[in-house]
Amino acid sequence: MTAAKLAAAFVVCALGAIWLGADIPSPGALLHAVTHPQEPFSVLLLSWRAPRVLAAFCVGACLGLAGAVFQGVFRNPLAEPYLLGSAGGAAVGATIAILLPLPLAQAVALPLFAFAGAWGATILVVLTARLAGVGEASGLLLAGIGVAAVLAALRSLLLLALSDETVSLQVVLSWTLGGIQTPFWDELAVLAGLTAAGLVLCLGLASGLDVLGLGDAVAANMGLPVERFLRRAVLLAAAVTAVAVCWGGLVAFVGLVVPHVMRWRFGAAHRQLLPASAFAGGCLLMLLDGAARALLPPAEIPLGLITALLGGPFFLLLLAREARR
Amino acid sequence: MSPLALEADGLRVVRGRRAILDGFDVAVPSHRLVAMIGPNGAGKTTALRALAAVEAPDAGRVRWLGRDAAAWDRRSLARAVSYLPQQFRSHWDLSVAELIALGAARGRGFGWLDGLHASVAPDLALTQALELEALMTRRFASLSAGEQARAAFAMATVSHPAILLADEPAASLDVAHQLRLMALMRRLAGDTTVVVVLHDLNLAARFADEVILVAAGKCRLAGPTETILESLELDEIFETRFERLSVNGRLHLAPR
Repeated sequence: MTAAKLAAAFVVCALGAIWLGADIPSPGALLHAVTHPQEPFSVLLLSWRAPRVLAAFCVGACLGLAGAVFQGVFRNPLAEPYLLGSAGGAAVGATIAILLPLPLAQAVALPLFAFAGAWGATILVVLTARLAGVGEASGLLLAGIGVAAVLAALRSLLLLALSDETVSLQVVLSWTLGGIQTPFWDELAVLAGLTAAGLVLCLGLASGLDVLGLGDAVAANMGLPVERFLRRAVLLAAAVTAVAVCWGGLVAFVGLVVPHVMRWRFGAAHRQLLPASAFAGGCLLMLLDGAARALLPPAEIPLGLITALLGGPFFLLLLAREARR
Repeated sequence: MSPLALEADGLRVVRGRRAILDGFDVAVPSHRLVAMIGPNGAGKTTALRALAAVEAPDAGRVRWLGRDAAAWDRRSLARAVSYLPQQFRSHWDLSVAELIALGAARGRGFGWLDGLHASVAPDLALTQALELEALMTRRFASLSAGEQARAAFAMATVSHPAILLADEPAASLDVAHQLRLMALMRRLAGDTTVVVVLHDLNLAARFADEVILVAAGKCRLAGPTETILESLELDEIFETRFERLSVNGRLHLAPR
């Protein structure tokens, strides 16, 4: 796909997402708002919806990217940040950062704790799956379910034990259900920078992931330091997941669905797959986040609920396909 | 006597309680086509994996081009020694061209900076010899077993390794393609040392310079093809009486 087509797809999805909301303006009203930047509705669109839509793009891009890397690392079509426990781990880290008084600014503590949680949980899942020695695909999945259950309980416990002010309780709850935070422009810049950095670093894994698909023996024979590469890739994917969770909470299945569809469309070579998954994940989440605002006005449906409703059946479909193989 | 490309001393590989290899010694001279033969379960695949440094032996050592494992870094060893497993498959459904490009990047590293100079022109002579030109854009999984075997062989040899260790690359090929692949290996042996596991003793008889006969985790006999195949130990190890015929002046083994 050419750059022009990509840009066009991005603009269409972004405009569509800005257009979607509790009140959906007619095309005329939208034009009026864009041309009269002082009016309240225009302020709503440009200062509130626009940064949120762009934040949704970054969160979706991180989820698509992390999903593609996780699937590549584990050579498992069912690997995904949410199912592997990384997202749950990040949420526990974030909960701790929000609820515990820390000697760190929250803007620093939140991503750091989320990253530590994501990485720790993923490593725990991988080690458990290895110890259990179950066949790779199902072992990872089972370990993921177990760790995710413990993490969810831990999060609820922390919530009950530590929250004294309703504000932080609400913040944490909205995290659990998934929802894009509306950032200020400077926060958005940080998020966009982290997303871009994640993409660049993950692209460095691309041909290593391709080689890994030939099996550990061939990969090692071709000069890939397999264990070291796996550790680095898991660390990176966990970091990218943490970025997504910090700004979007627990959004399930985007990291599962998007890389699959991109693989059908563009082939399995990771040099194309990784950027395609990031881009498509971003576009998808912009639209889904728009739908979350627009479906039941004035209430906002939690984003995680929408992605689970759409992604869950897809997951079952994949599971059935895997079982047949 | 040409210098040795590969040496193994007292290799021992234990899996569970069973020693798959036990005191496996071998010395392979440079630029030869060497067939590794032996009955099922003799340890041929494990021996090949140990020679490829894919499997670390529990005891013993391997030397490549006269140098110990300690004298090699990961990348130069990867460039020098190419290993083609028996059941080569790619988890990712890559195209033949993508697979061959990966093979060309062997030993060059797979990071960000390494990828930038990885675009290598396809080796036309190789793809032609393996009849892959028409298949380059096809996905690996859509190929027939024989086409897959040829694509995998191209991937393993495109980087011109000094040593090629191939585990039954001809097993899923029809007779014509078997002969063509063996002839290609014969030609490769001009500047590559090829060790190939074969089940078809007559392919070994026709193409190999030397034969390594593996039985019960040991190298039982090694030497010039005719000498080994004429030996009566062969009959004993394969538990088969062979009739040794001469077909068009070539040794042909027929089980009695």
